[in-house]
Parts: sequence; C-alpha cells; structure tokens
Amino acid sequence: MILLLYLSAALLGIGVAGVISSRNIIITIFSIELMLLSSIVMLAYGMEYKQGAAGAEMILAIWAVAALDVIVLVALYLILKPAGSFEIKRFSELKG
Amino acid sequence: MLVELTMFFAVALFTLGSAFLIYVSKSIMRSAISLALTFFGASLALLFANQSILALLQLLILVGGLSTYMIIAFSFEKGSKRNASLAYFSVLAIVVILSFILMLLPIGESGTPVHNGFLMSFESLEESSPYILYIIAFLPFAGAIGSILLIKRLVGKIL
Repeated sequence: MILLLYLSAALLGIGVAGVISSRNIIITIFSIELMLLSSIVMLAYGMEYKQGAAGAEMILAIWAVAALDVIVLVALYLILKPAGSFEIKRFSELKG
Repeated sequence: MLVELTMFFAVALFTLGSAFLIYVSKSIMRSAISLALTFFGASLALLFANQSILALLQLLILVGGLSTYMIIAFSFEKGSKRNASLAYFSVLAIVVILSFILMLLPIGESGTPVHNGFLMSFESLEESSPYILYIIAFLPFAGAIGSILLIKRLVGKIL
C-alpha cells in the first residue's frame, strides 16, 4: 500500500519539525525516535513492494539505534539533572 | 478494499495525531505516553504492509526503551494524574478482555470452526491469523507501560 510512504513522510516531517523547534532535550530525542520510526515504516513498504526480506537487516539496525537513543537520554539525564535544566542550550556544557 | 483503506486512514490518523501530541502536550509525561501511542500506531501500520512479524517484534523490542523514557519522564512530574491513569487502565482492561476472548475462539481455515481452541494446540499457531499473534505481542507492551503507570500512581515518584 503506497499510502504507507505518505505516512512515513508525515512522520519524518513531524520529527524534523520537532528537532528544529523544540527547546527541550528530551523532546528532541523523542523527535529522533519519530524519524527512526518513519524509516522503519518506509522499509516495511519496500519489503512489501519487492516481495522479499532484503530490508529486514536494515530494520534490525534501526531498532538497535533506537535502543541506543535511550542510553544517550539516560546519560544526558544523569549529567544535566543536578542543575535541573534540560534546555537545548546546555549541550554546549557537554564538552569532554 | 474500502474497509482496508478506512482502517488504514484511521491508523494513520491515530499515529500522526499522537505524534503531534508529543509537542503539544505541556508535560513530558504526556509526551512520553504520546510517544508510546505513536509506536503502537506505527506497528499497526506495518500490518498493512503484510509484515506482521516485524510489527509484533517492533512492539516487543521498543517497549524496553519506551519504559526507560517513561521512567525518566515521570521524574519531572509534580503531583498525580489520576484521570490519565484511570483512562489508561480502563482501555487496557477492555483490550485484555477482548484479547482473551479472541484467543479462546476456535480457529480454522476459511472460517470453518475447529474443535480445539487456540490455546489448546500450538500446532495451530502457524495457521492462525497474524492479528491474533499481534494481540499476544501487544499484551506485554501494554502491560509494561501499565505497570509503570501503576508504580507512579502507587508510589507517587519513581526517580
């Protein structure tokens, strides 16, 4: 069903808009998850279109990246929680 | 075809609406719940691409990350949200009851009834409808989110 591509594009658009406009780090990471989700939907449509399982490895890789996003959020939470602010401007404090 | 299109538009509207709610919501807790609904809607959308295994795997894999998101989001929450928890558990109870009714129904090819139910024979698993397998995968997904909401309601604060 080709409408899945439109759904994927809409999810990607919402995710990009969230990354650009959000000032909260947590909402930004949620937006990245949305973009990963849109790529999964697109690859699933590709698998249906090609009638094969060629995209399944890519989907597994995307799931791994989505799981790694959680680790990034936990690390940011532990670093930024003592100051009590999760503004996106505080990324500049994360220098090594 | 018309029924399938209608169902797809309903699923797409649900997914996009809950994705939009991530930004509209004032609290991060509600944003996390909206993200969970978006994951659920996207996995429902995978069913329309005839990828039922991927759909149920997505529910089972992403629920771990989603639980962590929700635990972190709850740490920002001040006070209790009783109405949200009550609505969630009402919907969850309905889904669980419907799932068990569906699982206990006899399954046969082309709608012909067979004598052994779904739970009686695991050999019928491959022949059964992928939607029932999907419901079975949905139960741990909903249970994980529900247990976090329950902890939040009982204890008041998680982190």
